Amino acid sequence: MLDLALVVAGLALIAVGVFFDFVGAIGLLRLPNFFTRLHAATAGAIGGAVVPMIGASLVALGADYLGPARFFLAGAAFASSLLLMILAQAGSHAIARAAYLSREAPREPILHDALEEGGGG
Amino acid sequence: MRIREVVIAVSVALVVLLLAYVIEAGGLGPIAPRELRELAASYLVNAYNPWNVTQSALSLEAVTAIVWDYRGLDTFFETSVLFASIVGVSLVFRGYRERLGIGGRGLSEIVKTSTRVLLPLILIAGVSVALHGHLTPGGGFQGGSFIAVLLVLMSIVFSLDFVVERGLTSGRLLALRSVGLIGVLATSVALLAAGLALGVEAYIFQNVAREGSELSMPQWLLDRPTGGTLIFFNMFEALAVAAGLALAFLVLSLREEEVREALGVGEWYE
Repeated sequence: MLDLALVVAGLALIAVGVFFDFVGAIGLLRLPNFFTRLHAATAGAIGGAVVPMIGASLVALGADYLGPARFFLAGAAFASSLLLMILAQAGSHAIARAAYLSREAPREPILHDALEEGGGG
Repeated sequence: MRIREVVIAVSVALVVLLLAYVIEAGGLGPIAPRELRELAASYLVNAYNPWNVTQSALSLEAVTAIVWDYRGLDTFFETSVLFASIVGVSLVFRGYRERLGIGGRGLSEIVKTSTRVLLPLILIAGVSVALHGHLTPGGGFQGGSFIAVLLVLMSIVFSLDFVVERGLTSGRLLALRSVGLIGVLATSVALLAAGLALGVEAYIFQNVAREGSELSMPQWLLDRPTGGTLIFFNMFEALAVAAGLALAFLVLSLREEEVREALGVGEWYE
């Protein structure tokens, strides 16, 4: 019963990941400028990779037929998802900051530029 | 136009899906061949074979057994080629010395904090890949590359000054690189030297007892197999590769002031 619950929860998280990947792909193609597209790509990385990896670890925990190997699979998937959660945002932040400060990417359309008011970051 | 794009997208997705099904069903032949060739079978049988030690490398990882035992001399020259290229880099930039206080001070605080979490993990992963080279896939080169990535990451995220202030100057990296290569050399002739000292026959790159020579490296450390020479080779190779790649990165990321200094030294030589 617990196994089934784990597998169902894991599959639900993977479905959430599919949704985020889809949204991220559409956003990457359709959003107007570099920063919003980077936002879509990062949403795809966090929602579309971190969340389904946690789901994969839950599915592995619930997969009884894998024997002791399921703990290795679950642990590896969980650790990778944690690392990706720490690193994906750092990478996007570094790219966005570099593009903003070097003025390589056009900032328009823009509603409010708090970084400019604060002295250019 | 709209419809055409949709048709293209759907057909690409269908091709990928169908290809996956065909491969899964074995339509393109088995993914991994089931029959081994004679050579592969003999390596697999002999890589760890305590009943036939003279043919065996006593390494649980067949790739490492081949790379550092069966064709150890070849790998030694590969390592030397990398060393020669590092020597070439440091020859072109002779007179290069790091100068503090020029250039950036690294990326923003967010990236620095994330990297601080990551640095010890990279170090542990690199060392464990290198030290487990005779047990699991990986080995000295791979582990050393991990550690070199660590240094490159540090110099980008925290700035070059950060790296140099912690003592990793190009001179020291070159010294570490040399220590690694000398270690590889010493390991490869260790049993030969022991054989000469004891007055018995031994071979260069000998790991365990071979035909006509009873000498053998220690095979066990407490309750863990060490693969004889393999663990030393992997250790020194990791050191040499990490220091060499980091040195190449450090020298190639030089700044204008340093270039001028290096050019001045070059002219002085001429």
